[in-house]
Amino acid sequence: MNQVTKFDGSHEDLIHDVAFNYYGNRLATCSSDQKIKVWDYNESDGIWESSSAFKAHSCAVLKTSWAHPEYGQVLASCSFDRSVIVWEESYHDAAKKWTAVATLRDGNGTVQDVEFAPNHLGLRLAIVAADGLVKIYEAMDVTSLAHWTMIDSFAVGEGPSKDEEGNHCLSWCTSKFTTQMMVVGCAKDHVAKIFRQDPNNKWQACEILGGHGGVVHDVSWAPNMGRSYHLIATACKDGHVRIFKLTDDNQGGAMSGGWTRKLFIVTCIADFADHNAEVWRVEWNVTGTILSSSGDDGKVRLWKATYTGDWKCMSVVSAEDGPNAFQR
Amino acid sequence: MNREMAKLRKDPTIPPSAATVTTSTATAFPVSPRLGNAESRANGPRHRTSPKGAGARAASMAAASAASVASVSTTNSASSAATTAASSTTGTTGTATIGGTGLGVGHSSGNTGALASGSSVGLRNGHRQHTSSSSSGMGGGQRRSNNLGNNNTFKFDTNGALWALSASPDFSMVAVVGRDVLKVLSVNENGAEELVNLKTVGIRNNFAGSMDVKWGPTSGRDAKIATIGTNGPIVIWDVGTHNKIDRTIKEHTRSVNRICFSPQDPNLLLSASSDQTVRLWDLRQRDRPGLVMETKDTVREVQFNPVSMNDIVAGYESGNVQRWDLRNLSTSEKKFMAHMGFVTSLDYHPSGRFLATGGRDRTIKVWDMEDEKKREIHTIPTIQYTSKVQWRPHKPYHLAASFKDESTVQVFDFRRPFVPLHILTQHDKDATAVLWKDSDVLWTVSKDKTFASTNIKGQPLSADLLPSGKAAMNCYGQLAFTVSGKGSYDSFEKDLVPWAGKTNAKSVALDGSSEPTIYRTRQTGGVFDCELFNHEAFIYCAQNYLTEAGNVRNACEHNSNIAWQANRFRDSQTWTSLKLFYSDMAESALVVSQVEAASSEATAASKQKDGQVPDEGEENLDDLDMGQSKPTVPSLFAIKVSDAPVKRNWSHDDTIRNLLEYYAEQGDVQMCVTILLVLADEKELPEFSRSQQWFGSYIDLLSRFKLWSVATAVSQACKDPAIHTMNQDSTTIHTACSSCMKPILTRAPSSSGFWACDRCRKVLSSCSVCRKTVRGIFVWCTQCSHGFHLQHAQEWFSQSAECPTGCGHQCFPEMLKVQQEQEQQQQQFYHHHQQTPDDDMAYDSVHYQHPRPLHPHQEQVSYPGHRHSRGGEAQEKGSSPLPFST
Repeated sequence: MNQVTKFDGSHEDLIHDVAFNYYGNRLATCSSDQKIKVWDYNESDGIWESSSAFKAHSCAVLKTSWAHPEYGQVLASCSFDRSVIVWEESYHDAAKKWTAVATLRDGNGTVQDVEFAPNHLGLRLAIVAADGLVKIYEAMDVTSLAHWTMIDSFAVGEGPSKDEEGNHCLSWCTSKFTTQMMVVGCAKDHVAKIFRQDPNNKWQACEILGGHGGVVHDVSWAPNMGRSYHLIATACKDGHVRIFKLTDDNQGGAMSGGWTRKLFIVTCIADFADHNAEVWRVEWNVTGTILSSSGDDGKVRLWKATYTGDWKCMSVVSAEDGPNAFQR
Repeated sequence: MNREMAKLRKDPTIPPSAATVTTSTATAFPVSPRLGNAESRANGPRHRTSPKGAGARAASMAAASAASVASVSTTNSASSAATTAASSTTGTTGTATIGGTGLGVGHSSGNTGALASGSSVGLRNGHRQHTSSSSSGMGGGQRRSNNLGNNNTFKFDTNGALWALSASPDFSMVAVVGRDVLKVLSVNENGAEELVNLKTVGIRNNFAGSMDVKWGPTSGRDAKIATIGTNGPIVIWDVGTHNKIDRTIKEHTRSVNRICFSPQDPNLLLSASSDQTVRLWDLRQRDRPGLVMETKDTVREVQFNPVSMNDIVAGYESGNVQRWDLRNLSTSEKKFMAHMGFVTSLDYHPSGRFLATGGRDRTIKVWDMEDEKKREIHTIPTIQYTSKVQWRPHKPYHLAASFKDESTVQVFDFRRPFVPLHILTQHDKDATAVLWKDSDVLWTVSKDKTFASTNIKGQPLSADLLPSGKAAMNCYGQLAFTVSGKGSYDSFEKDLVPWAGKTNAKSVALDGSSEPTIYRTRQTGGVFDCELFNHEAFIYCAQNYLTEAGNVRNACEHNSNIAWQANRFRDSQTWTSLKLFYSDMAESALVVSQVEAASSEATAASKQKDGQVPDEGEENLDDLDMGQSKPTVPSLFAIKVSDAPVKRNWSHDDTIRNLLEYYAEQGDVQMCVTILLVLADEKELPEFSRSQQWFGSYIDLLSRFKLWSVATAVSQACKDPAIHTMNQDSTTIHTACSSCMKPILTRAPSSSGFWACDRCRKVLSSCSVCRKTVRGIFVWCTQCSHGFHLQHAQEWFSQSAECPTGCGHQCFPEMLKVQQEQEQQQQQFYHHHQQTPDDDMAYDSVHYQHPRPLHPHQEQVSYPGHRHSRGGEAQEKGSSPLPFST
């Protein structure tokens, strides 16, 4: 056990995203080489084996996201080629094969992020493209997955951004017991905004996570796990990793039942410049207790709260020495 | 207006760049609008290459000849140029170009500003040979295009969608054509302006536009432009002396797709046509029909080899590329299938050895034309198929391409095929053609009606816009990550390293070096276990914790032991304390302190790991000497327990609240939920507003570890209706008889229930081994649909691979090879644990073929509570493969 599986050479260009499935026993990597690779965990050997590799797009594949396994083995990927493709694994003579079951291509510009909604909302998919629109699609028939209907669309900022002006990004709030919410990074506006559904099921911006000195490259909404507050992490071009804490704003009338624009008290509880280079991605673990961030400095940093509630860097994984250099 | 401009140039408030022109030469903007009258036509292109005459031109040339010009003199020459320009402009009223673009400069303050900065930049770079030679015209920037701020980066609106462009040999002029555009523009670093509009002449000859345009290799008096008229024929324009049609070639019987001048002999023109011929025309011999190279294939593309003048190459609609030797047309030199679908563009490498082709199959390929092998040496997959490709001068690996239905123009480096060097977004609509002016400046035309010049030195590298790494964690505490040490390297090599590994055998160096260098990204990454989450302890506790309410004392004691065994000493301590709180009698202080001491030491041992449990915990337990241990770490309950004797009626509200908040904060919903369940019957237990979230999160976490039974038990034990009914939510299983497909309606009064089918009276869900109806766990083969008692199946398949019914199906093919281990056997079947052991209902088998066949190892099904129906249709169709009902 505890073997290291290396990705080296498995893709022909930069890998832009790695995503575990719900169970954590499958892994998808996507790359500029236009391919997606799926890795399966071999429990007996404790290593990850590449089970499929397929050409997914005609440009760099930027992100990929797994659907909840109750819908089958389903992936969605987005790309510079302006499309989102939904993939499903099928078996032919024991050979696994991923087939494109649906292509969503009504955007104008690079699709910059894609994420399946939390399971309790059904089989839904949120995408955000360079045109500055978040679109939410729902699979009409979970048994075929070929038909996706756009059920919502909203603008996140002031019009489209060119690719060189920065990317958009989004992350769903996975909590089952709140209204639907997501956090969206707004490209050239250099902020992240929280959007939530108002009583008329319209998505409205309700909070702004400010203080960024550049494009917000990535956002990640921590799994709530029944905490009294929400945590959102952002990765910023200015080299900072920030953690925002959203506490219920009881005075704001949230308790009175009426929808208010002000829902949370937003505080930035951590702001780290340790990367000292563009930070590209942040992601929480399943319990929302550990944050990972990766940047242009060639390091992955893991952040964890101490017992006193201060966030500290708990370890650094560096590229130069490979995974073996993992330091506690 | 020109006086204003002159003032502008003297104005000290002109941007700083204007003050830095001391070492540069002055060039007036080359404008000589082609007029309708013959006089101004005499000032046409032929003068452009050998400027003389006009005062302003002389002034600018004088300035150009000076190696270093003082700023004052520069200003003077510029203003004199402008002044002369004014007079020139007044002398040439009524030009054909007026009203052409609406981009006149000086009418608005914004444009004037652009002009000022543009002029200063132009002055600074005025030493460029082609610019000084082209600086013959007057006009001081009339109709100047929109400078985008970067030198050599601007757009010019031509009022019509553009399809092709071709530049004069000195790049001072460019011909741009479209469906209804036939224009010659004059271009310098700062902008472009319309010089000649050939459309009026074209219209007299029944065409308003052109499909393709090529500027002949001669300049001056002999300058020629070839166009393919929209009405069919090839039209040769004489633009050196008069803007007139020199010759019209109508020999092609179908449309002409591409034309190409010989780079060596200005009189040779190739044309590729849909009439399946390539023809070579000698423009000196008007009467002689061209040389014909005939195939059985529409010719899309043709080009001369830039080095060897008898060598031409043609691309065909079939995807073939063929090389011809003009001295011997009977055989083609080299012919190969380059693309699936037609060849849309091709370009000879400046070395004359390599050929780049773009095809309908959305690839750009490079071929070694000197090699006999018919295999590409480089491939780039592209977003769309190319409409035009061109190698970048002096950069042997670089190539620019425009694409069908694509507004961006991309510059590729063949050493990094997947990430373009630059993605240029100058155009709003489809870019249709590209042309390198020099090694840094790319000219493009687009359907957005503009001609654009882009200095790619100022453009962002597209690799910089791509995330360099990502890390993700799964529920087993494994970390998957990719990182790249991108920051410390610049330009091309910052992401890539020469790679000594497996070489791509088909690669060939394009820069003349003998060995190609293979590049790989600097990125590394992998998956490894970094123990971020102690999943073993979590699973052990999940499976072994007692969750029944009622006997708090027992449950707490049991759970304390379980936590201890899982090396969760802090949790164990919590359980012990809870036992004391909720026991009928207070335990002796001794017990408390013992427990406390033990757990404290354990906690101390694990302190370093930040709450993570040390592996040597088990040994600690053995070594523990109760008497000697001292509580070194303040434990959660130490004070409370020692301060007050524990009594049954003492309210623990606050303590419990703090306790649960503490665990929730740690993300440990397992403890939150288990404590809530164990204490569920306690009357004093306060309400927890977020208990729903805790339950939901815990069940979700259990599902991630595939602990369906535990998850079901938790959900059943929870009193909150939202959680309790989670399993029943939209889980509908429709059952039918496996032999006659009649739905089984258990509610019907006449029904025989789950035992037999009402129609065919056959026994339902019988075991294929013992033939009895199966109660409880029913397993079946997903392929042949025969079912068994779990035990019978295990027994049978430990001996045989074949179905016991004799249906011939190899239900368990692995048996043929080796004896499988017990656990692997179980994976072969779907089995479901009966939720409530006392439930007398037998399970009905549903033997529908699932529309999406499920693989035995696929873990998507098992847990009823997490298979919600979406819209209900799936279940109505009977597509659920689950063998249980609720």
